[in-house]
Amino acid sequence: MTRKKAYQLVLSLLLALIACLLIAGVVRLYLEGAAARAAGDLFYPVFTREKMAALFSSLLPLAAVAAGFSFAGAVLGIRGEEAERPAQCRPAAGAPQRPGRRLRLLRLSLLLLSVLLIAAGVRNGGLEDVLTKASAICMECIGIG
Amino acid sequence: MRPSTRRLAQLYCALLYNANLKGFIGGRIHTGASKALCVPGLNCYSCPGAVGACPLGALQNALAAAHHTAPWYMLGILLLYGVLLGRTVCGWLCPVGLVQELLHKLPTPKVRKSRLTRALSLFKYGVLSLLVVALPLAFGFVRGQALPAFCKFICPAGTFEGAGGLLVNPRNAGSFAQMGALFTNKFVLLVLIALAAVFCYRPFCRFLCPLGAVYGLFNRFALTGVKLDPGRCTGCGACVRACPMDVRSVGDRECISCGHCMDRCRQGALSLSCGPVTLKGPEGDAPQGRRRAARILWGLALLLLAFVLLRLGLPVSGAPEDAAPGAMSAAPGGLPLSAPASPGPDALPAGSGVGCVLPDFSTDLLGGGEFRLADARGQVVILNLWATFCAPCIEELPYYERLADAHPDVRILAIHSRAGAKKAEAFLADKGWDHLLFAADSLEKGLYDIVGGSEALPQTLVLNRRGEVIYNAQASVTYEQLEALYRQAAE
Repeated sequence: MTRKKAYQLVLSLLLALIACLLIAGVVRLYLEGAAARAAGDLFYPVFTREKMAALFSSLLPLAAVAAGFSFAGAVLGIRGEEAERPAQCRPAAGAPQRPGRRLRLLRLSLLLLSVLLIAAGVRNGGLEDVLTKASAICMECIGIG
Repeated sequence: MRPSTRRLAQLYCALLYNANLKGFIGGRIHTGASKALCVPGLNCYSCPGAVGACPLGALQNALAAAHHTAPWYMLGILLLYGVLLGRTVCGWLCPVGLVQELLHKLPTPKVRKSRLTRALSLFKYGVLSLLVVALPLAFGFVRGQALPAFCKFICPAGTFEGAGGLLVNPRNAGSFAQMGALFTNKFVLLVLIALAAVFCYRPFCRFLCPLGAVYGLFNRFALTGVKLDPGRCTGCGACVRACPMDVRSVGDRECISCGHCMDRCRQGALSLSCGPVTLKGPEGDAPQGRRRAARILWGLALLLLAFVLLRLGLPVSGAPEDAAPGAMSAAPGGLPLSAPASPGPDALPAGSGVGCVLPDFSTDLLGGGEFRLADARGQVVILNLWATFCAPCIEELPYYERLADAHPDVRILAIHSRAGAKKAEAFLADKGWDHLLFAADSLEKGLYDIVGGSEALPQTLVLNRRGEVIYNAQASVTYEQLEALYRQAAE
């Protein structure tokens, strides 16, 4: 195993360990909370600022080691493998070329259609609906519940 | 090492989309008119910094509301961005892509693209069909409720920007108590996606992102994208081999116009163009005019950023938004929502926080009549803040109805938010919630200011017989929790 490979392996394991500990920590908090609620404490706080802060700060030393390790790698000039050869590839012959008249017409008509749709949306209240929804915090969307 | 133009564009967009810097300081989201406009990339609109709407979130809500309002606006927006930019949005204008690319820079072994990853890249079309289109449409038509399924179950931007952005602010400490299974699932998914991004190039964009799937459909005829000069191309395939995405040919549905192929093409057959204008040509093929145009474009972009930051992003005392309701806060028995004003009866401070006495107010009710808090002293009073567009709010309203039915001495007033208040009466027409009192807030009434409401819904306040607030939290409640609160308030 080359020095680069060993370095990459250690960094990968460090990052995977941090991720696993984060996931395990959050799942543990949830399971504790769910058990407390099932036992009758309906308002038991499953997560609190203090609990989450404790979880993250417990991982800080490991994160600092990983950051330092990454920095050392950058100083030593070790990079990730970039060459990603595909199992199959097709020559670029099918790629878009300079547009012909038909393509330009298609684009123009779609652009016109989009403007018409937006105008219709502004007229039927769609714009207002977007504003209304975006001006409220969607608690379930962000995972708070 | 000098950052590339693309990296600068990504950083610029991340800052522009989240230019409401005062939102991070105050733990509040921006509620101005700019939120009616969608940004092209994936950027959660519940993030305190967001100044525009997320096209994906807005699309799901528009589809959920399709039974009464045709989603023309969102379809038009996506068509416009798709035809103008295609997946160039993913490569240049998306903050989620930027974060994944930065994570991918960590020097670890990388997963190579293969037939498997190519096949997996189709998975995002399944996510689009099921979570973005089918479920919101079905819930909207069948149950009349919004279910932004992708946002709720998957979106890492929501967890990272929205929840993360709000929860790091101490003012929102109370919201931790509302988090449960949903947060656990989304947090685990976020960590897994972040970890995958270290080893695999843009895993979220390649396999999961429905917005990329939508834009990918336009790639072949989008105005902006990588174009091929057939006179120069020798068909060597170096471009496809160099591409970190799962493309089979340059410019196909997976191409995000990142430009890796242009750097690799020795024939100089590839260029990034916007219509007739070449944005990036073969190496060493940059005429003076293009450089000057690029400088002018960057100048204009920076002016726009400065304008947005000055107009929306920096704290200005006395701005109308500052007078709006407070930040999301308060847990059961937790922090008071607002500082107590003056002492109320029994020497308890007046305010909406737990342990305070809610000041008297009165309001006209939807469907006629008036509610006066002073008249309800001696009874248990529950105030529920809700909105027709808030799915968890609609889900829990039947619990309040059941509670009011079971306990005649409780008065429950459900106050609709200012936003979308006009639709509340029509929404309630056929619901049959006869035991509940409904009112709608407005700027003049300022009910949310009195009760400490905010942009975060639903919210519930429970007042005991003395008018003291014993519970004030922004969270969904179960019937069992409501019963327990009622018993505590009725003691």
